[in-house]
Amino acid sequence: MFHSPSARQVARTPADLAPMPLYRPETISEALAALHESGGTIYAGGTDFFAGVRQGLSPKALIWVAAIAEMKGCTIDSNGLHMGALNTHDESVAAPELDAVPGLAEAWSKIATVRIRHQATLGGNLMARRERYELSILLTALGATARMVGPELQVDMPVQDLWQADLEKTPLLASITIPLDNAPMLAYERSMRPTFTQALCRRGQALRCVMATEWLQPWFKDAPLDADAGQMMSGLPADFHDPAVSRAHLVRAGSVFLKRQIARLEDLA
Amino acid sequence: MSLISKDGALRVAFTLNGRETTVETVTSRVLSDLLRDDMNLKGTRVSCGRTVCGACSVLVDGFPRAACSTFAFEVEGRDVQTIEGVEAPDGTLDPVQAAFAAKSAFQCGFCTSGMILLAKSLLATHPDPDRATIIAWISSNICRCTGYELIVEAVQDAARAMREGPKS
Amino acid sequence: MSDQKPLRIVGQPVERADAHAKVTGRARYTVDLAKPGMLHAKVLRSPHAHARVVSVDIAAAAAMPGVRAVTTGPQLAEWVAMPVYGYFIKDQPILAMDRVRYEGDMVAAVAADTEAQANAALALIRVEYAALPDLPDIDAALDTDAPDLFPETPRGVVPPYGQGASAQLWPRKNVCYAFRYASGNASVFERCDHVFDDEFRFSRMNHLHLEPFVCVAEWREGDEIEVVTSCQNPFPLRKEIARIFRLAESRISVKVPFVGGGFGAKNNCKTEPIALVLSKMTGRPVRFCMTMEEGFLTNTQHAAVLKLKTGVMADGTLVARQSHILLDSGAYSDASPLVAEKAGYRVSGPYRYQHVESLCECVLTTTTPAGPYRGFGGTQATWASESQIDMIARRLGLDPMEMRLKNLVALHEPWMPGESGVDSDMAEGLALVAEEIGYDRPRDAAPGWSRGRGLAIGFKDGGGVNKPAQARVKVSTGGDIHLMCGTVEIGQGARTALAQVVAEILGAPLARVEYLPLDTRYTPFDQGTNASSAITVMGQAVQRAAVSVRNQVLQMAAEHLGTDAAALELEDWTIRHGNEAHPLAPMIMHIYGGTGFEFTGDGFHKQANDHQAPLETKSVFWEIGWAGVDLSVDRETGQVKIHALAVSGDAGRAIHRLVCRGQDEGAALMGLGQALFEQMVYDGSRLINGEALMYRVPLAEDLPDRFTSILQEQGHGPGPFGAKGMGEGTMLPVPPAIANAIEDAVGVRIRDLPLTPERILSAIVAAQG
Ligand SMILES: Cc1cc2nc3c(=O)[nH]c(=O)nc-3n(C[C@H](O)[C@H](O)[C@H](O)COP(=O)(O)OP(=O)(O)OC[C@H]3O[C@@H](n4cnc5c(N)ncnc54)[C@H](O)[C@@H]3O)c2cc1C
Ligand code: FES
Ligand code: FES
Repeated sequence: MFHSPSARQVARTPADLAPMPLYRPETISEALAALHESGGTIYAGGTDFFAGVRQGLSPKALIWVAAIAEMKGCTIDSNGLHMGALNTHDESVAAPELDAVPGLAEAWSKIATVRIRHQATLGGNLMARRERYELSILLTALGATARMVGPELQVDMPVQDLWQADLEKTPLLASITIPLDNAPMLAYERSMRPTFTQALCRRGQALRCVMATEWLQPWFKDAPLDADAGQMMSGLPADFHDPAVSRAHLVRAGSVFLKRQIARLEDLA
Repeated sequence: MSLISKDGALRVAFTLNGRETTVETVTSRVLSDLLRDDMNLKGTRVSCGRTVCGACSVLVDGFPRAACSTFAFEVEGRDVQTIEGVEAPDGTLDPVQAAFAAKSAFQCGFCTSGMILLAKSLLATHPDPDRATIIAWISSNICRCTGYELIVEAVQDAARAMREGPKS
Repeated sequence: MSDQKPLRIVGQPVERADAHAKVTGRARYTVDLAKPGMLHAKVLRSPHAHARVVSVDIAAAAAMPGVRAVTTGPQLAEWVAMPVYGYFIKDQPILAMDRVRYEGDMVAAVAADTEAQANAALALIRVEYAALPDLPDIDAALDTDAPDLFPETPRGVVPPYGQGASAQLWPRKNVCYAFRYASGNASVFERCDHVFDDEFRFSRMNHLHLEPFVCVAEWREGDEIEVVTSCQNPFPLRKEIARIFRLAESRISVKVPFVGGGFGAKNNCKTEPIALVLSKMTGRPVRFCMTMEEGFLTNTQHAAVLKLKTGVMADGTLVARQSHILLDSGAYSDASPLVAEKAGYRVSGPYRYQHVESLCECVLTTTTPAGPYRGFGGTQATWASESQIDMIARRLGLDPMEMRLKNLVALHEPWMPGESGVDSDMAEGLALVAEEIGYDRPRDAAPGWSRGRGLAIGFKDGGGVNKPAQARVKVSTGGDIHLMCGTVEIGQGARTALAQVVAEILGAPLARVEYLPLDTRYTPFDQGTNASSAITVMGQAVQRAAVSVRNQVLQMAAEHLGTDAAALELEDWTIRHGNEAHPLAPMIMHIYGGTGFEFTGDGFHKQANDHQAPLETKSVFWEIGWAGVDLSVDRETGQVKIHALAVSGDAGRAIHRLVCRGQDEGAALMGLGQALFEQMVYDGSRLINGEALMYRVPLAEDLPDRFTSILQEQGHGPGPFGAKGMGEGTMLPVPPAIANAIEDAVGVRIRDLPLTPERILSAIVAAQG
């Protein structure tokens, strides 16, 4: 859950941080070298980092990645839509490449606030690994992969695997790729936030639905296009509930929203 | 080489409220502490200390940013405006300040510095914002006292005053 | 009062006195204060909800760089006379003694040169705990097998009560206080056509004041102490400090600059005792500033279970009500007894009954201590009461508005035997909000949605119980006005409104009135900034002080001019006598010599003691808030969309219209948050959303499509110029008005807050069978 117990016993603030080495790499390889040399922590937009500090994060050094041009921007090639981890939410939403996935820019434009969207990055949203952040939900629905890089290794892993990923060998998220085969499109329902949100991707004849709450990591389910919404939702694991919402409600309301979202995507298609 | 500071000591040069400023500081210093404790600019308020409430908002290159969650080194070469830099040098209030004062768009005043800077940034890019736009922007920061309605109206009043120009 | 003249300043759209300071960022709060040589305090908190403290080892912490003092509960005994505090019951230790009672209870404190050094030292303190069973909620605490949170009963007092009211300390295990009120004879239940029993639950919110809990305390040579603090009640705090340290109150100076919000939280000891102990130990000023996360672990609203049994006639006439309220007080009593008194007293609401009987008990649990919160028991009471009135109307097939109108206590009618008369026409207010939300208009809704409208009235006694207030106005030779009173400017606009009263009476421009900084050593006594009392109680004291000065000045001038004071007028520090104008400064120097003089007027106000009144004084005024809601519910998902929220308060006479509006709107939005989503979420005894992002408060985007506040000035208030207090009333009716509108829309009744889609949908599904 949100607070680690040790952080609650002592109320930390950034004033607890000691002066530490600061790196400002301009390339990924410089960043990796700096990480290797210092054992430091990546710092991007900073909208989550300080919450981490208050919960006990105490970096040995700062790797301020803002100047790495190769981690910015969007491109499309035969492998799909690539998005740099450093893109801010505003930049992502404004990128014309996002139109390749109908519904994505619209969903993305709804998250956070004007002040935060200007500053918060895609990479930070995923790498903070907090249940309530939404890009993991959207990108899991879209079957996206994360390119994790390290000095000796580079792996592309499904976004949902980031939750458990060991960052030892590949500490840096460089970019995200959404495969564009079978014309994916996205619908996203966040009006029930903070209780739960639901993303639905339609890709050719396949659906992927993701459910998430404030406290639980996203759960997803693949199904054929003609699947029954209620049946899909009844697959929610037995322990998928939290102190603010029961599983029964998630199944019941989730089925209704899923039906509506399927219809929404039908219209879009 | 990408190392900027090895021992954590650092010099930061930036524009603060229109004046070129250079400070000797450390890498772990956050902007709100730099402003409040090192430069005695107490108008930047700190509440949540983690990017959420926006009480500590300052304008960096004209855009609101939480000073509590910005390292001092991040403003190197950039333009920073705090509430202390909003009124004219002769003490004349900015139209946004004047509108907040006239509308009583504050109560305890703890969110006010941030709200005024937020509104200034909004009006710099949207001279005639509709209600929905004002609400979207104002939703970046928390005001626990006012219920927001008077803030929204003050922003509308300020926009009008700025469009009509100074009365002469 | 001879004020037939049109008002120049009262009711006029003047700029708030604190406007310039606040819009320029110049306003100074406690959190801004730094003193030379100041140390910083930090505390170690319990990770357990309930445990015995077996041992605490501070040796390593004390040896850390920059550390000047380390202390624990047992160790600070040598520095204080009394290591516990509390309003009625002295049960909260400055630092835990042998037991911790909630996760976040304070166990040890460090003062160091910097906060970072203090925290680094805290991390080295080793505490050994022996866990005890926790009591996460009311049911657990009342269970027969529950452990006793206070095996040795802390001492406390019960204040005197009047007709029908009484209270008891520690009536049963884990209940620290029980308040009872009764009037009329229970036998009338037998004559009722119907008797309805319903149970309601109320969730708890955090105050989330933006300025944190903070103080700077200095224990000076010769046992003289100064505490600058973000606090709502400096005089009671002074008394508590004097008791803890066994020190004369005259040696204590409590100073309060601008306060960045409180909503009730900043009453009594919070940061002050620890900072003072550490200052005494080190001989240096000590600042103790809590983080927002710590604020969540310091004080909250009361969750509650409310059981109402109400008897009515078939035509909707209310006859009798019995109520049993259980308040979740958290780990320590704090202000719970006072809140219980108010919840228990107010639960019958604004209606006429032949018999009421209520019992309100404060149940201790292993969670954050609950204390005063805007609405003060009235919020809990109104939630249950106004929900049940609607339910009864629907069960009887009556229109809920009609049923309310039928039973409302009339203007000037005493609310209860021995009470003061109600000072608003409540039907008038109800009609206003009903009109505003289109109560009778067709209920069109989008496909799949149902439309509903609901009303509610929040009703509370206002002005505090047995609350004295004193004020002093001084005017110097040149006409500079000094206003001294103990009302804290916490955002409510008190400085402005009280200065307006003085300026009006003295015929002076508002800018001439200076509201002097609050220091308990020099400022006249006040009980505290609460109960919406600033205008009605302090306002009368201020008014009297100003009138006294005016009379003295007019008397002097009359003698000097050889005329009658009644023929003179005071305006702009000039005496007008017909067409003549006599500037006062030369006259004063002529009379008192060249160094001049200062006129001083004192004012005092306190509602008379009265044993016939249930709470020992009649209510100073009645704070009433009306709300109307127009909404739609999605029958498939339980989602609620608010189309319009209209609230109204009666300022009696608005001293400052925008200030009143701001109070009503701010309170209403808090009520909206409480109704729909804002709450502290617990996993057992552990608070899991106790920080800014996870704890959702209303943002501007949560404003309903239409949000109107209608300011009434019915003119019946007891305050200066007919004013009444404001600031809490419109929070009360919002949650029940929404629940009532939901039932109107989809026919289901939600008895628990917040009104989540889950609760609504489950009820819809259950109703469909
Ligand atoms: C007021 C507020 C409202 C918000 N609302 C929403 C919302 O509605 N929906 C939502 O989804 N989110 C929301 N957020 C979360 C926000 O989107 C994230 O905080 C943000 O995306 C994090 O990005 P950042 O660049 O600021 O990360 P930082 O704070 O810089 O970093 C966060 C973490 O990620 C690590 N990290 C950053 N970049 C990388 C990288 N490239 N590779 C490896 N590790 C990295 C850092 O080491 C750090 O631990 C909100 C945040 C705030 C403060
Ligand atoms: S104090 Fe900086 S965002 Fe809250
Ligand atoms: S005025 Fe108090 S928080 Fe906005």
